[in-house]
Amino acid sequence: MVALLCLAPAVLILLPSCIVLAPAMLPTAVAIYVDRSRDKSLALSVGTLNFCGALVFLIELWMLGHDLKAAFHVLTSLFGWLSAFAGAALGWVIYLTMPVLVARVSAARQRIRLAELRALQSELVEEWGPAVAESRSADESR
Amino acid sequence: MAKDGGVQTETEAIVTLAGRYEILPTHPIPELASPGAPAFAVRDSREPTRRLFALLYPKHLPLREEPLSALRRLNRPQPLPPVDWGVIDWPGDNGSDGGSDGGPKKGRWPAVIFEAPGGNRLMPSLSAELPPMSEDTVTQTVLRPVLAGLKDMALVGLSHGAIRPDNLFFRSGSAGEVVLGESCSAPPGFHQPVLFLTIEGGMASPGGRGGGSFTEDLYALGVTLAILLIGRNPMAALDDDAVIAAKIAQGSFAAIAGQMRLSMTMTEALRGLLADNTDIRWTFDQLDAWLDGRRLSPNPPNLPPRAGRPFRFDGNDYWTRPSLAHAMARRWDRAIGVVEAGEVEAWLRRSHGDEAQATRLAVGTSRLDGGDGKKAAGHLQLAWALMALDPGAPMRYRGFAARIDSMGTALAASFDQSGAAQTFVELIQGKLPQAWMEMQGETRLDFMPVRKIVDMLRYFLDRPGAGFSIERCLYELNPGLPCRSPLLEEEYVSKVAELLPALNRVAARGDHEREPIDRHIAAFIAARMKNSADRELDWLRPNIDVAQRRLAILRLLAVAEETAGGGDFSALRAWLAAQTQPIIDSYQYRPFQKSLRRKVAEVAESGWIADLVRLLDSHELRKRDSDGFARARIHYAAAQREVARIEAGEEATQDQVSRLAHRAAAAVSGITAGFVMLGVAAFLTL
Repeated sequence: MVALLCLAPAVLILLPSCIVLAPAMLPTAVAIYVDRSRDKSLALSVGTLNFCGALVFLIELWMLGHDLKAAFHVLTSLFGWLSAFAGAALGWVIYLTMPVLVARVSAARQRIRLAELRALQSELVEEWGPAVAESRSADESR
Repeated sequence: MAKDGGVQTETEAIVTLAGRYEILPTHPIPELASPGAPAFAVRDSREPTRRLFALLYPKHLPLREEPLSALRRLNRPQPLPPVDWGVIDWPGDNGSDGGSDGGPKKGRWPAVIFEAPGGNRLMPSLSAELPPMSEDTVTQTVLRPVLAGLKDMALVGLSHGAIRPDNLFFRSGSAGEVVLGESCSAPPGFHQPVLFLTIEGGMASPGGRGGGSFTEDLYALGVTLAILLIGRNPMAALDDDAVIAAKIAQGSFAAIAGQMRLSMTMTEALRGLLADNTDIRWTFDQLDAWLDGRRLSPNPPNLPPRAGRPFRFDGNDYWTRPSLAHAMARRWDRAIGVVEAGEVEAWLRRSHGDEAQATRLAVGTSRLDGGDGKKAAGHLQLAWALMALDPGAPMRYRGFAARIDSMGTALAASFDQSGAAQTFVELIQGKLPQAWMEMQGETRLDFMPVRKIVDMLRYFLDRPGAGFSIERCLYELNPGLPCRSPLLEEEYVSKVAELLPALNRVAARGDHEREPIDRHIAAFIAARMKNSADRELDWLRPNIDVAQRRLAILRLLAVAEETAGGGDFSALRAWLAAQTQPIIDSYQYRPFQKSLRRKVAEVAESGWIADLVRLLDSHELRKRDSDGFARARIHYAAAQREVARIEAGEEATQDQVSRLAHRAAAAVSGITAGFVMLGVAAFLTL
């Protein structure tokens, strides 16, 4: 509550920017709503790029004098909407494609590790004979 | 012993001994052969006029080098003097049929060179008949020279052990003085017919007749004189058992010479020589006195005491203890039941009044546990009974009969016969030697070493591994016995120093698959090395790891090599190198195995067996290898666990990948946004 009270003057000062950003950051709001994970990765992915795209609105707003009239004028810019939503879409695409990419990288890494381990084992067998592969329990039972 | 002989292969095979005696395998001389020792012609390359012959001694009996050396040192005409001896390479089939048993096989044999007698054998065989010799002729041409020879031998502590008419040679032609034939080709009495042996000697098997003594020689001389006086064997019609039985029943003199017409003088001498009791049998001094014409008081007949009542056994009545014991020993299986029934003990007690011996028998047999059951106990019980009945007789156990001092030669002589070794084992484990000593009724100092030996034999028999057991007993009891390993069949190895050269020759003939040491060789080395090899023998136990076993073999041969003082044993080393594979394989580190293989090959080319041992048997290297192996196993197991984890998908679950990917997406988006904002800021600034 205190924080909101503290932010209230800033909102009043930045009201035109807030008016622009509120609709422009709508995809981020949806992402925040949809993302149930603790670290809110989707919201971060979508939000950061959505904000980048919304910068087009903000820059235009700031260049037109940062008032309410300019704010409503800016919101009529098709390029601004395209930029904000394209940024959000890119964030979403990154979020959706990254698991596939990471899984592939991880699988490749495991294959390499397996090959390394098998090579090490072959080397050990070559140097010490097949007995090196026998377990101690087998040894003891013998 | 002379240096080894070599073979020439020209028009005829010649085997050279000591660089001068040329033995002619194609020229056998059957008329000079001894039983089991074929004779061959010999040329002395330095003195071609010398008349010599060679005897090839049997391999299965100990070579009697000490009497040979003593006789050569003695250098008297009686008996036939040995000139030289040594081990020769016999050409086998190139040679002749020399011996009576078809001739010696190819291989190394001990050969002894003798001065050839100038005349023929006095009697070609014991079954032959001759014109009876007069008492004077016998005395002058036989008794005097033979007695002189025996006295000479006694000076160096020897007895002859083979006096009989067919082992006497005329010094020249077919008449005149005689000379005693050789006697070293076998243990004393070994080839003597029972007729020429004392009653006790005749009861023993050929190898068990004892070490010989001058009183036994005088007995044999007495029998020989009797045969020459009558011109034939007076007991030719009887078999050995009947001869012994007759001697027991009548006394030797009466049995052999009782029917002869002799002068009082000669009767006196024969009665003295053929006395069955050694205490009253004539000695050299008495015989000398007789020859000098002094008349001695005649020996009374000395027959064993008769019982008050006879003992009925197997349909016959026996009145004396030795006659019953002899009969029971000959019909062993039937006698067991009689003894088990306690009849012998009762007869001793009641009919002979020998309470002490009966008690010894009762106490002794009550201690028998029989080892493997009632049957064995029955055999032992009978052996005890025979000892109680006739304590002076040899130990008799089933087919084995030997005097206490000749168990070894008896074992050596019968070792290859089926069941003989087992009989000997039972005899020792049944403590029959101790029983025999106990039955003598007195504690004698000369029994002490025998007790020690018997204890030692029991110790060896209790250990079944190579280097112990019956083979060890064989070599411990027979110091001159050559090694009887089947590996050395063509060789003759009587000393440890001769072993490696022999194995080297075996190796040169091929077959590197077999191990170079078997039970016989292990026991031979152990016995000749006087226990210093026992530690190594421990590794030759059954079921021991093959690498440890091969190492022990190497160590044993290294010890033998040290004794031999080195030599060119390259074939043997190659054989041993081929045998080292399990030792090399016992190291785990393959690169080290490879390097070992290379080094072993190098040492096999030129080096000592001891070098092979040092190379293969390093405690430090083995520790390093096993430590390294343990570490390698840990690494392998760790890798295996990781592989299993990866393969089971434990390394990264779908969830983990997804979480990681989403964080990455946030980061990528954040970084991209950061770059975009920096770009925008830069654009605005410009």
